[in-house]
Amino acid sequence: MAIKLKKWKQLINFGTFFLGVSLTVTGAGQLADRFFGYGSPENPAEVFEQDYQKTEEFRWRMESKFSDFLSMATGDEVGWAYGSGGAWYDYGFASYEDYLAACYDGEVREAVAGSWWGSTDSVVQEATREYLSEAEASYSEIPDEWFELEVQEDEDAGRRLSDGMEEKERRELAKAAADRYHEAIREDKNLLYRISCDGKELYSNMEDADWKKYGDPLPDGYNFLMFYDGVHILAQKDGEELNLYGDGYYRGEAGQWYVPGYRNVAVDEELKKAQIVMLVAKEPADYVYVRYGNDGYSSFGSQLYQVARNTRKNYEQMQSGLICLAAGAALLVVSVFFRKDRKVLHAAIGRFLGKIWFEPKALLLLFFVAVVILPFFRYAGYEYTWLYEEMMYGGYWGSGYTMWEISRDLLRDFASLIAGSPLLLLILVWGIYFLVLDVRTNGKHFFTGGISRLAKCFETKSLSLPFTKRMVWRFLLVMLVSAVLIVTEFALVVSITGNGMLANFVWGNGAAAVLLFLIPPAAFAAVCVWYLSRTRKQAGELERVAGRVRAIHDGDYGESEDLAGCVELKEMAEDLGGIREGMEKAVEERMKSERMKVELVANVSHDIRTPLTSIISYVQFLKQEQDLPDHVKDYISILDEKSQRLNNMVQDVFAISKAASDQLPVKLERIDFGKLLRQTLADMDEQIKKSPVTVRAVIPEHEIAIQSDGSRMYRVFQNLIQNALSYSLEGSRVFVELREDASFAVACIRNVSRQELAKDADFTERFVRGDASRTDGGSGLGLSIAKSFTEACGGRFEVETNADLFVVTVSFVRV
Amino acid sequence: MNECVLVVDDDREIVKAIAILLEQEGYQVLKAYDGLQALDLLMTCSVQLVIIDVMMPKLDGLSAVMRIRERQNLPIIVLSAKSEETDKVLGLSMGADDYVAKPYNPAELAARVKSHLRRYTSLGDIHAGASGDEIRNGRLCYHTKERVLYADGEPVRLTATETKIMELLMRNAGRIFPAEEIYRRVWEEDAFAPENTVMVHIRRIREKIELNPKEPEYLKVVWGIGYKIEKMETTH
Repeated sequence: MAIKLKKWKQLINFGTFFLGVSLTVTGAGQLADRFFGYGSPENPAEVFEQDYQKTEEFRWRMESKFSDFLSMATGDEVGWAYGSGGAWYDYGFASYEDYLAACYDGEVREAVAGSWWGSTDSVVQEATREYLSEAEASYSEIPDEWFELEVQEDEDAGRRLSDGMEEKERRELAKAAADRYHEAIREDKNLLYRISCDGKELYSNMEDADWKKYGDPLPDGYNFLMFYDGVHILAQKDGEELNLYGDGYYRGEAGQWYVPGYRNVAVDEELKKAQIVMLVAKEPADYVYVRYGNDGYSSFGSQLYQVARNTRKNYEQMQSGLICLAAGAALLVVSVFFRKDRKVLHAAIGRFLGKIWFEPKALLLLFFVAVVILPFFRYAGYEYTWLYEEMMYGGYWGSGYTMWEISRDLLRDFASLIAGSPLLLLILVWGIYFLVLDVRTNGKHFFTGGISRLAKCFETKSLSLPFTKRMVWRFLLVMLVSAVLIVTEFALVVSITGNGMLANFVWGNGAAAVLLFLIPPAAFAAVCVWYLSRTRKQAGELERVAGRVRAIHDGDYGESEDLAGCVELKEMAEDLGGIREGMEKAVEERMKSERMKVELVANVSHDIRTPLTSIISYVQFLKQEQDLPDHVKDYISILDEKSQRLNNMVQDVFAISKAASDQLPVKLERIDFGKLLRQTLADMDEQIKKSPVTVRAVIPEHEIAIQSDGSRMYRVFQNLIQNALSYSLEGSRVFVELREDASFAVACIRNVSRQELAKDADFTERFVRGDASRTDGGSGLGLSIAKSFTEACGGRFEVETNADLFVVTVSFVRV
Repeated sequence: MNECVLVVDDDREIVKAIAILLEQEGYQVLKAYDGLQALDLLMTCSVQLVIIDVMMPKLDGLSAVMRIRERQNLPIIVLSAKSEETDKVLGLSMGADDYVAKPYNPAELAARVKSHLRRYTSLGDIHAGASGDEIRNGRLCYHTKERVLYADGEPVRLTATETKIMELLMRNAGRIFPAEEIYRRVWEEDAFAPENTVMVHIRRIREKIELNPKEPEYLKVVWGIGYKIEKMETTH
């Protein structure tokens, strides 16, 4: 129950707010329209005017009527269209096309532009001729500016006013026009008139009883009098005298009556003969005159009635606007107290709006734009064709409109269009309101809708495709969409530039044209942006994967966050991750096994050394024993020898295992390779002398610098030379040679083996020797150690056999 | 009374072997088979030198060395099956005076014991009386006036050339001399291929001054560069 009540409360609350805003907006729109829109008065005070006889429009209508009557009185042409744009429409021409045709007919060139009553015909004709010749010089076709021209047409279609017409003939024509005009308006009792000349009544729709002379009371229903006595106009309203002339000087100011009688206005003698009475009804009735003649159809309405009606309508509009505004404001004030509830409701509405797809909203928006903007553009298209000329020719008429004024007018027109139509205004206001609410509540999700969901679905589907296929498909999609869009655009352009209904429609509607031309390129741009963003993402991920591959190549097997976010290349990233893991594991295992190997060797050699120590020690004691039989001494010497060998072997194995697992500490420094060899040879001099071979050393005297560890390399060459001494053919020569080339220092030890060398044997393998029986002195590790040490010191170690020739090459980079 | 040497090793045969070796040299030998036992013996008996193994039950050699060093200043020789450079450095930094790898060379071990004992027991006054006429380096001492080299306080019999070489090297202990320079300064003439000549003399000197000529401590070849006398830190 409580919840229901709360709901009701909320509804009422929102209703109040809604109504308040709507009424306020409507009222404000009405008022704005009244003040600034079309038909808004020059004088703002007139907005509140209820009496139509006090309006500007009434004044100039009366002026124009008076001007016509004056012409009728003096037998001149009726220039009643004066001042009222579009008057031709009311009278004379059946349609706009007729009017155009009339304009086109070069004979209808009698313009009254710039005419003042009573000015002689020749002056008028001269002015007209001048204007027309100028116009013709500028335009080959009928200029639109002619629309502004007041054109007069005679009722007699065969004969028209033209240059050089006889005065008499012209008078006849004018009289015929005046008669016809009188015929048209005489039944309109909203305006009673009597037109006299020289005291002789020419035209009248008044009974004598109505009104006779100035000073008489006005007949029933009439409250406004204008009486022209040939010099001044005496005016009366509601029985009171009206002064039309002010201080008696005409300045062309707003609100001034444009009539003869001012002190600074000259009047022709002809006009002084005229006498005109005009009586205006207090509340004009509707009157329409329709004529169907041999020259076509025409209709004519009572202008005074329209003025009165407009005044009343305007007043009512203003009144209703004010009421709406007041009521709306009151409701808004009330709704201020329910702010909190409204917030809840706003959230609910926002959630609801969020559920609606983006597309309907966009369509609504488009519809709204179409409703509001299209009519405006169409309207502008018709109404402002002159704008184009204004801009192109800088104001041919010398109107002096600036761009600012033109754009201000346009904006004003637009605003008043919206303000004057409550429905449009409400749609606009609430549309914006809900749009803002939606965007504010749902933020980015505002755009989620059918297409984005479809796109997401497509994305997900495409991601399950293999990478290459996905790329191809995407590209094909883009190409397809592009093609469709291009064809559409092309078709549009062709159809529009052609001359068909669509073309007319599109060119008639600026907005339609803009929309039609913009939509396909916009869609194309969107597709391009999408494709670009996808491709960029792919490229970014590819770069990341490539970077990872490089890192793995460089030996960095560590885990990395780089690939965690990969979407496009997910599979590849995962595979790479697998490879990385495998590599990491393998490397780790290899390291571990190497370490274990070294540890094992270290432990074993330690364990062997301890008993070996005892053996060697006691063998030493045995050797010291004097009274032993010879064969026992023999045994002891064998024990001594073998235990020493075992000791050497243990040490060598330990050294080699360290060197092989890169754990041999080396101290690299700059040494002289030649000196190293000479020192080694000198150190081994005794052994060499004792051996059955000769050593030939070819070592340059000058320094051959290399970067190496001297003591390790001494061990290497000691081993090599020892090897050579041990295994060489008796009486042969061992060559120790040091060469240098541009970048390398190469030491070469060559000897001829005593025994035949096994083919394809790798002598640097551990425990490999020339003979397989292993009965001689060496541990079998000499070459292996030499190789490991050389490599640990950064050199290159090579063994080469050629028949019985055994060649060891040790090379270092020169420094 | 003969000097007393404490031999500590968990391998009884090795202890026995060392004992035989040292007794042959005329020393009195005490035996211990683990670190704690060694510490006990050191508390009760007068001992002039300790030979101690590293890997032992109860208390390992290096810890024992540290404990001994807390109270006594006698020479300690560490005997270990671990022959690596790092082990050696570790042992010496713990307070040992010498490091001998297993399997040891009996003669070398005996020589080392002798050397340390001599320095420890009878050379105290020589340390004190260091003067400008002497160049001292570890167990070596060169008297510039007498032109005599002493090792462990005993004069070494060197030939005239050998003495010249030793004087040159002792005066510049730690500096590396190429063979050419040694030849020029000792023989005072330029030589063609002096390496052999110098090396022969070096080897002979080693025989006279080094405890183990095959693994010299003092007179060293810097392979690929030259020769030098290692500059020793005087430990005590």
